[in-house]
Amino acid sequence: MTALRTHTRSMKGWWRRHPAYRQYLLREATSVVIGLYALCLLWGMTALLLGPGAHDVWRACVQSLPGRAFHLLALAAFSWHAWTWFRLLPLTVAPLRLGRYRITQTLVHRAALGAWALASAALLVAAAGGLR
Amino acid sequence: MSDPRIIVMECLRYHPERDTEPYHQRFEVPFTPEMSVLEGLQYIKDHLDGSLTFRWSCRMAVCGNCGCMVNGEPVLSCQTFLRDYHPECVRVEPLDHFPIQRDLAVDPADFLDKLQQVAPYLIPAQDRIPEDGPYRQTPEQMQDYLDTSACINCLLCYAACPQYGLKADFLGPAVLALAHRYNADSRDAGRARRMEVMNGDAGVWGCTLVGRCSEVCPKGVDPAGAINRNKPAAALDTLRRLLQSGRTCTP
Ligand code: SF4
Ligand code: FES
Repeated sequence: MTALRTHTRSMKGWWRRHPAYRQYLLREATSVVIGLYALCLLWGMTALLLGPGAHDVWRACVQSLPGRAFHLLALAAFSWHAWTWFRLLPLTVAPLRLGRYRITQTLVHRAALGAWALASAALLVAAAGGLR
Repeated sequence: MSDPRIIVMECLRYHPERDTEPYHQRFEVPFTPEMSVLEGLQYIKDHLDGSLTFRWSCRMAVCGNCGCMVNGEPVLSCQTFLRDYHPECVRVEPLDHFPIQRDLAVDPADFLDKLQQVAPYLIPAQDRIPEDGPYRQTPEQMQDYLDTSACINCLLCYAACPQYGLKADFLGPAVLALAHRYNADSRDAGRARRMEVMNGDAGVWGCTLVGRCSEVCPKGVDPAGAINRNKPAAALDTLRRLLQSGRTCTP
């Protein structure tokens, strides 16, 4: 039997086909900013090891206008990544049971968001304490 | 009853013996509020152009045959209603990411080949004969796989998954969800056999959690969940194999 001739469509510009694809790509792209932020922190810690001079240079850099802009960008990237990732988190967790009750996906999502809010608040309190 | 209203249905056409490229053709279809997109296509075939090709069977969201893209969304055309699109035009295209055989009919051969690879059936630990009696399973055990067993092989999840479109060898959402369906069944002992495929190059790691497959599934199967819940097991399997190969290799 001869194979039927078929037409295969191209995937060019696939992300334009649905907003969900663009949101997905944005979530993945935020990882780059988060990676850069980790490098920035690493640089700060290395500077701390190297001595006061190096640390002052690092502080001046992060407090400059581009440094502040980068931090705002990182905050936005972290928030978007966390929000979208926690929405998908229930998909990665095996169905949980507490006795006879099933823990729903909504509950997992809310618990993750709550933990995120708590961890962020604790960090802010600790940072505020350090600044005083 | 008032006269039927008219909706423009724009269908993708492709006849391999005649066309080098697909193109869109517009049809004006009279419709009533209860008419589905599938019934619109049937009207075109019966009254306007008998050569329009599309698949369907049950007309009640059970057989999984009538999947197509309606205004860019993968849907079952038998449970999508023309009234929801009027007065805009409704654009009907074959499911994304599959080769077009003819008009709205795609070639599902790739899916069927991949489905076979995961042995989508019960593999009991011991062979049984009818005299052994029925399998026993508690309602809780049944809950572990019930959602995934609702799959009707409609392929909407494949049309929603860009990774399947980009990586031809990726097993894709429904195949992996069906592998999970049997792995999660207390009567099954085929997990190790399926793991070879699920943890292979085309398996669960091909999923990057776009998550659209679960959104479009008309049966609430949640293939993205099924795939990602198998990633820890797949990682453990890799670790186990690494340890075993470490133990067997000679210095
Ligand atoms: S998982 Fe859902 S969308 Fe995918 S083939 Fe099965 S029923 Fe269709
Ligand atoms: S015709 Fe059977 S699912 Fe639509």
